[in-house]
Amino acid sequence: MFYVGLYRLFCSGIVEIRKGQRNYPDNNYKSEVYMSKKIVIKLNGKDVEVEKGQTILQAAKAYGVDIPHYCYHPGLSIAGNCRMCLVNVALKNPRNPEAPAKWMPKPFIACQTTVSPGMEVDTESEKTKAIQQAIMEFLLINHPLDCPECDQAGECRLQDYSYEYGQDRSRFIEEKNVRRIKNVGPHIALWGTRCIVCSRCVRFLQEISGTGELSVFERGDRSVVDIHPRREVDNPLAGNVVDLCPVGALVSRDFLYKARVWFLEHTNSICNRCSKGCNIRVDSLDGNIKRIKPRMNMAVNEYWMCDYGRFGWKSIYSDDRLLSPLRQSAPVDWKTAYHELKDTLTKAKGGGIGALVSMYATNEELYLINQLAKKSLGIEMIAPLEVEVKNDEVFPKFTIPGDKQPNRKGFDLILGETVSYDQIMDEIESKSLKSLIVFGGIPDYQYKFELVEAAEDLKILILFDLMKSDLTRIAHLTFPMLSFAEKSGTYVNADGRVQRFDKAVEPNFPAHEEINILQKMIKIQSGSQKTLTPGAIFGRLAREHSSFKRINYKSLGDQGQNIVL
Amino acid sequence: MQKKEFKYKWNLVDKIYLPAVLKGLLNTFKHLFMPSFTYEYPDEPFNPAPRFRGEHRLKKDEKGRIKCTACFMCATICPAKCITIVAAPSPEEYGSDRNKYPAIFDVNELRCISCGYCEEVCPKDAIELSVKMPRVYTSREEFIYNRDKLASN
Repeated sequence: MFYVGLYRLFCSGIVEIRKGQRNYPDNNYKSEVYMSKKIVIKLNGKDVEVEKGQTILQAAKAYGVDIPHYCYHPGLSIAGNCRMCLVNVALKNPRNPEAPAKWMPKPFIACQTTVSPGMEVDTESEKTKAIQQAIMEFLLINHPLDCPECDQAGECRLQDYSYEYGQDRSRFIEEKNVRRIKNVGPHIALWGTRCIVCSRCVRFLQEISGTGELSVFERGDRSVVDIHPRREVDNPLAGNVVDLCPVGALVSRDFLYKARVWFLEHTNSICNRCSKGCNIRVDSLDGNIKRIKPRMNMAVNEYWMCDYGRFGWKSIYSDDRLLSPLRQSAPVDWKTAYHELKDTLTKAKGGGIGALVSMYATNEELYLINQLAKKSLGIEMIAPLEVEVKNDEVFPKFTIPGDKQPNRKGFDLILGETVSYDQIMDEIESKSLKSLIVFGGIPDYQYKFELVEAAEDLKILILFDLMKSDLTRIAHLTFPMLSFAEKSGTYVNADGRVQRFDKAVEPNFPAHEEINILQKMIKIQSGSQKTLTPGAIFGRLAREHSSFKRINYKSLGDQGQNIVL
Repeated sequence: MQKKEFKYKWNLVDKIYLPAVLKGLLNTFKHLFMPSFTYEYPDEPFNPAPRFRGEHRLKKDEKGRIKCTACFMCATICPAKCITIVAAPSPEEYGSDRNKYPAIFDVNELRCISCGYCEEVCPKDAIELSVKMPRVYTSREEFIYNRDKLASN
């Protein structure tokens, strides 16, 4: 070990050690020092060029060689305690670089060992295979054979690696350690028996959320992850530990037994619960959302998401959802609603029309509202329907913004300068505004009492909303809106990144997309126009607004693109 | 290269036809004196071989609990997609060693093609195809067997 330590010191240089980055190799991509230097190592007998400062695991991954691992996670510090990534390594003698590399007597962990010039790595030989098999056997000693009732089955690392690297039977005849099932938080349950003590969850709660509720207790084969007495894992980032757990030890209480993961359909989406715009994946079964998981995007949310977004989808299946258009708060079918819309708009035209638009509207909807305002209907003033901005929740490596509106930036860019909410209220009171269009769609929102009171005096009120509210009682015409999972569109997050979300599930009522309703409104005013898809509308938007230059619906991909400032 | 076509040449016996007819009739008469294989089904009971694949059955363990843990293996493997399962945390009388059980376990016997994959794939040995012949009902709904019916099958 001394020899290796000395060698590392030699190779990596004192400067790098002083930077304290050796334990965080994933942060190295930020440093240009590492980017510029390339070294050559031999990976499974082939010469490959890798970046200096990378670990063996990262270097191998770049060349398509997957080294099995449990405790290593690119977003966390390196613990090196699962020993699954052990590989055989040959090193050069630093005092004699001419001599051939010498195979080390014991294997190295690939997740922590940084590459060095002339290094040879072997991940495929019989010797390495035997090590991996032995480690799998150790990990499975106390692991129960309860895959049939485990929620992780199907996306379980232990299952996958056991199949790939493990043996087909156990030699362990002694009794296994059994621990009882415990609820460690409002959303998390702990199956202690299944835990392989990789400490990913412990490191996450220490490094990212900084709350540190979970710790490893006891020692040796009895060591187990657990909470301190009466300290539940209830921070707003707690749901991530379930995603992190490579086995089924930490499971979501919300998703427990809901579905088998191999039946789920995955759709890339964007969380609409705050202005951060976390990249998410909506998992649905038979058209019903079952869970939401974060998707990696290093520019936005890295690997994580908060619990507000994770469980925010439940309002989609709320009993208060509007399921059909309403005329004077009585349900009507879509044909009647459109007929009524035509009459209402003809009545309203020229008589002072205002609009309240929420910042939950997608860029495409905002573009159409702008068209409606400027060109066809002549809406005189548009004001934002804002939700109160709270304080940011700051964690050591993650911030949950206090601004809960996903598309504030897009609103400002597309609608330009708008009047304030109070101004609209004043105009309604002074009777110069006789008609109002409210474009809501804010989940779990209560309209202010003064708005409801003032709206009663209006000649015409057209409402777009998700849920039944006080305003639906008054509105002359109400259209049901779709949630983020039921339509597709784009949002611009607080950092100015345009991100696309796709339709994950079909709405479970006869619904028309908002963009279609808005286009119908334009059509009524200015004659024939083709009904456009969200992609086509975004194309027009990009042509007209310089900020969206060189961005199109397809080029957004699943990672999004920054707007031009 | 062209294949040479084989052409059977008919001889005199073939052309008469009668010897071949008599040969066939002889075989028929022979069967009159052999033991019969048919039985008159509704009147006589049907005793199939033990490996016969009939209706499904959910097995119970020694404590009377349904062995099934709702792992969805059978629903996944089923080529006819005739099994519908909804899992739930097991009721209290199941004890602490059983966490999950099927709240709903429906098998559509009309869709089932009796391939026996469900039986083969089950990790808990909880489902089997019994030797019972599929019964006759007057509506399609009755062919969808629920959990309790399958358990008592």
